[in-house]
Amino acid sequence: MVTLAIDNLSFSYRSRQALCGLRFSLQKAEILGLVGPNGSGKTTLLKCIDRILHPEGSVLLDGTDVGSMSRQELARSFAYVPQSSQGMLAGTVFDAILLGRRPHIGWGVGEEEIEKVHGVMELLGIEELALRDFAEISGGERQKVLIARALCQEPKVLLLDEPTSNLDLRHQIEVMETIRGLADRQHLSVVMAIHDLNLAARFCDTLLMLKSGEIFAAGDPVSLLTPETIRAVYGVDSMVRNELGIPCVIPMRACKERE
Amino acid sequence: MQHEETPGRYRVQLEYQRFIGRKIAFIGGSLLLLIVLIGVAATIGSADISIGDAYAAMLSWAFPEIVEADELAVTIVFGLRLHRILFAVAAGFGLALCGAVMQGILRNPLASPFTLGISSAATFGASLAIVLGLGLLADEHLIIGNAFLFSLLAAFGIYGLARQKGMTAGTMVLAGILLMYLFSAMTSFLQYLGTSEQVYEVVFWTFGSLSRTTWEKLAVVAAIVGVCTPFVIWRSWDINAMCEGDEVAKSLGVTVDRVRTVMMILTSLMTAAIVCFTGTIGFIGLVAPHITRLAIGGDHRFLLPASGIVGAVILLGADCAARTLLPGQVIPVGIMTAFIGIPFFGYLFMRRGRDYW
Repeated sequence: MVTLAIDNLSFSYRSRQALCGLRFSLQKAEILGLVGPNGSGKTTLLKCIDRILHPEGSVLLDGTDVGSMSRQELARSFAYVPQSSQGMLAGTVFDAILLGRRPHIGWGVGEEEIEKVHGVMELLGIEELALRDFAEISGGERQKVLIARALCQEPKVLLLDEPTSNLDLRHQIEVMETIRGLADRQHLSVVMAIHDLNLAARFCDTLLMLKSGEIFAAGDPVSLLTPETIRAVYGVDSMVRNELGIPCVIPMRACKERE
Repeated sequence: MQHEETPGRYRVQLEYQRFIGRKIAFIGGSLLLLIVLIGVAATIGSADISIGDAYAAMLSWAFPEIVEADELAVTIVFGLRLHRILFAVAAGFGLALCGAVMQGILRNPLASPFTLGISSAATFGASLAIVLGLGLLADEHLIIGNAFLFSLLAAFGIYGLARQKGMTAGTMVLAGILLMYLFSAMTSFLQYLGTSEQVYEVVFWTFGSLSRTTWEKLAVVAAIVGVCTPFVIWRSWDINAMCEGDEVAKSLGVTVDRVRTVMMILTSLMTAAIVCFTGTIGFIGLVAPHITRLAIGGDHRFLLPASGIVGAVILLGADCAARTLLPGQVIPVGIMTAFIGIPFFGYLFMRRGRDYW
C-alpha cells in the first residue's frame, strides 16, 4: 500500500536548484534510505516532505495533498528528527520527549500522556533516563531521545536525518535496529538520509541515490550498490562484496576524474 | 491493578508528579513571599503603620463586613502607598514575563526588553520630549506618549528588519541590538544638544523610578499585562517547541513565524506600557527568567508565570530597599534592581553554571 507519493518535486534555495523533478513513492512499513554525497539534497528533501521548506510539485500522503494540510495535521502525520539538536530546552529527558505530544494535547498533561511517553521510553530502552538532565546525556542517548520524541507524535511517516551520525558502533546498530523494529512491528514508514552505505544496505528496504538534486538511481540495496554507481555518484573507486546477501561496500580511493 | 503490573511506569509517573509538584511549590512559595513583601512595603514611609494594620487596611477593602481597619491606615495605604506597590508588582511581573518569552522564542539567553532596544527606544522617545519638546501627546502625557510610541516603533523595526532577512531568531536578535545602538546614539546626540537641566532629566528618566505612579497608570499597565499574560502562557508549548529550533518546532506543528511575530508584538506592547511610566528598569526582564530557570527548569508552562512572580518580588524588594537604604532619600529603583539582582544571579550562576542554558 502506497503511503507517500511524491511527484515532480523541485526546490530552489534562491538561485541554486537543490532538488529537481523528483518522483518516488513509499510503501507502508517501508524504510527508504536517501544516499548520496554532501549537498546532493538529502536533507532538503526531508524538509520538503515535512513542509519545513515549501517545494513545487506534489507530495501525497494516503492520497491527500500535504500542501493543503495545516501545520497541526502535518505534525500528526510526519515527525522530523534533524541531524543535530540545536536544542536549548533546559529540562529533563522526560520533558524533551513529552514535547512530542504537543500536536495532540492542550495545555495540561494527563496521565494518559505520561503513560504514552513512558511506553515509548520503554520501547527504546531509555526509561532509566527519564529524570536526567537532557543536556547531560551522551550523544547516543540523545539520538534515542529525539527518536522517542518523534514516536510520541504518533506519525505515519518518520523522517530521519543522519540518525547514526556521531554515534559509536554499538549505538549505530542499536538505533538502526530500533528503527527497523518500528517499521516491522508498528508498520511505520521511514525516510532517512544516511551516509553509511553499509548500514543503509543492511537496514533499508529501498535506496534512493541522489546526485546534484536529482535521482541518479533507485532500487533495493543489492541492485543499487555496485562499483559503477558508487563511482558515478561519489567519485570513489570501491569493491562491493556480498556478505550474507547484503552488499558490503569497501571504498578504495577517490577517482582522479569525477564523472 | 495496572500499576502493580507495571511498577516502572508507576514509578516514572510518581516521580514526574513529584517533579511537577516541586515547580508548583516554587510558584506557591514565591507568591507567598510576594504577599509578605506587599505587607512590608505598605509599612515603609514617613507615617508609622504596623504590618498588621497594613494587611487589615487592604483586606478591609475586599471584605468590608468582616475586617475592620484603622481609618488612618486605610487612607495612607490606599492614598499613598498601594498604587506604587501594585505598580511594582505589575511592572516586575510584566517585564520578567516579557524577558522569559523573548529568551524562549529567540532562543537567546541575552534577549530581554532592554537588550533588544525596546527600552532604548523608549529612552529616546522620552529624551525627544524632554530636550526638544517634540511629541504627539500634549503636556503631562508628552514624555509617556513618546516613550510608548518609540518602544512600539522599535518593535516594528525589529520585525521589519527581520522580515527582510528571514524571520529567524538570529536575525531578530541582531536587528534588536542594531536598534539598541541606534537609539542609544540618538539619545546621546540629544543629550549633547540639551541644556544641563534637560540632560539631568533624561539621565534621571533612564534610572527608572516608581515615584510617578498613580492608580490610573496602574490601571493601564495592569490591563495590558492582564490581557497579554493568559494568552502568552496559553501558548507555552509553542515556546517550548521553539526552544528546540525552528525546524523541530515546525515539525511539532508550530506556525513558527506567526507565533514569533505575535509574541514579539505582545511583549513589546507590555514593555512599552510599563517602561513609558517608569523609565528603564529593563534589567529585571533579563535576570528574573534566568533565576527562575535555574530553580525550576525550562518548561515554559511553569517558567512563564514563575518568572513573572520572581520579577515582581525583585522589583518590589528593590523598591523597598531603595526607599529605606538612605534615610530621607529614594534611590532610583532601576539602580537598586541591578544591585540586588546581579549578586543573587551571580551566586546562582556560579553554583549551577556548567550545563545551564
